[in-house]
Amino acid sequence: MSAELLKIRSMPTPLWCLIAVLICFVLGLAGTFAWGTGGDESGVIDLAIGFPLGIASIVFGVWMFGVEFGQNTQRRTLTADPRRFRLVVSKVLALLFCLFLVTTLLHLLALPLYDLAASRHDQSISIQEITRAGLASLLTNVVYALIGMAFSLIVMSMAGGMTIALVFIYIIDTLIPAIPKVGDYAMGPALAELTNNIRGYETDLFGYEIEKAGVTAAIIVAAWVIGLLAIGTFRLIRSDVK
Amino acid sequence: MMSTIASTSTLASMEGVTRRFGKTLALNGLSLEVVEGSVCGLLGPNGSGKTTAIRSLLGLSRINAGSASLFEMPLHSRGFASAVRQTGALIEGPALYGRATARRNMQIQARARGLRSAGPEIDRLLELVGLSARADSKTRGFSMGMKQRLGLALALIGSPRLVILDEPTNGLDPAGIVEMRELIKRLPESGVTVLVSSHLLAEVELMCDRATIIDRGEVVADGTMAEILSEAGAHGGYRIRVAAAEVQRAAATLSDIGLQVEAVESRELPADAPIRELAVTGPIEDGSQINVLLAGAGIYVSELRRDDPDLESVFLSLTGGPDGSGGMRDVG
Repeated sequence: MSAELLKIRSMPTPLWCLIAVLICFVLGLAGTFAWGTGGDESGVIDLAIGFPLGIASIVFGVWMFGVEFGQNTQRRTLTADPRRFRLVVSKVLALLFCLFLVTTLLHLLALPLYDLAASRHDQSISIQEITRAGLASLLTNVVYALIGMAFSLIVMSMAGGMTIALVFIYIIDTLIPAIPKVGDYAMGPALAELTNNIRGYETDLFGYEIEKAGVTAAIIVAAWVIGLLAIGTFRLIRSDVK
Repeated sequence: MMSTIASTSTLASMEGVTRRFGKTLALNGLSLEVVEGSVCGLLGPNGSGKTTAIRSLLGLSRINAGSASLFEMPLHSRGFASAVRQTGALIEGPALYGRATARRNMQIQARARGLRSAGPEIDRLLELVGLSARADSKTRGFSMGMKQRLGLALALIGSPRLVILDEPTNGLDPAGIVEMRELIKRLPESGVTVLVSSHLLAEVELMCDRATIIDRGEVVADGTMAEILSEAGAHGGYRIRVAAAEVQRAAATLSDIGLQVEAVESRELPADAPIRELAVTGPIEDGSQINVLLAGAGIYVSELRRDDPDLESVFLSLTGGPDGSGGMRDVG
């Protein structure tokens, strides 16, 4: 795992992801300072931190293996240690560590700064709101990043992985619920059910009452992530390395 | 720390390995052996299967039939990972993280090999390959030669017992080629066995103790250089130069004692030169015999020299000549 963390520290993509997220953080802070939270503290945190982090997580997840395919360094990595399953585990652990670190730090940083900015409009952001938003964001980030990693493994390409991951998360996964019966097992609604419950929302964006998240939603999300990652890992193990 | 595998005289071997890519047969029952302490050459024309063989040996490419092992650990066996970790490799050019510095590339490789504090070794290896001054430069700005040298340093990290180098002099200038060749030749002194693939004959001849020549995925010759030359039926001979007017008589004199004589063209001699060159082969113990014989017949040679067979001529005869007809075989 330490080799993977060293790669993350050395390459520009993770750094640019972090910079993009920090820019959104600062813009959100400036917006809160200028206009307040509009009474939706959690929404502001989601928009300024959660949403950018989600996109960055997809890019980061794809990059974890994409960088090896893009620079043809997979053969070098596997001649240092040929255990391919172990490589997947190392990358997953490094990915989870970074996501946990960045998500936690950004939300910890948001607590005093956003609260201070909101106080200009006699508003406040509580620890509870930040914690809920942070946990929901962490779950989304982990799911998106692992899906991104899985697609880069499946297509064995950085650009291909990125395209398919984005298309899957933002298009295909939003269309699956429209398919009768199959739609009940779509990842997006299940993940939304979980994150909305973590956030403590009672109604969704359209005013519909949100169901209490059950084990089924967690199983559906886990099944998608594990299933796609398993296909990707199988492909990595079975394929010739260029 | 790396686990150490029991010392063995054969560090890498392939036995009857076959690899197909669709209808193309890349390796056709290939067998080879790398003996400890040697610099072993894997020689073949472009597309003959050298890289596929190396990839298969390292477990990067699957094989359809046969067996391969490193440090006597069969491919994909429990101990194979440990064997690979005792092997350094540079395959098809250096695979570098272009946005990272040379030193960081080395650090990443060291960590991937499970080495925690490899700082002094990294400095030593960068010094060895002449990249100390550029250690902290990003490798995307490196020339091909610098990348190749860094690739060699990457292969040597962790003190591997076996180093596998695929076309290590690709992209190097003449001085770089000599430097790389000398580096590789010196590796056995520090206990490193080398398997080096190349399509450059002079390189293999100068660097290697023994060689395996492959063509279309099959071994066509294997052994020490002397064994290969001898097995290929390449016998040495002599070249003599005599006056143009004496050519017929010289040929007849030498043929009388069972030698084969052939007039050859020499780039150094224009067509209208008063001297001609003859190639003489056959059972001759010493060149002076030719001189004595011809002088006895009143023919005086202006030049007499040995005409040793070289790997190039053997290689060309074994791999189908200089027309590039070698390569992979379609089995469809």
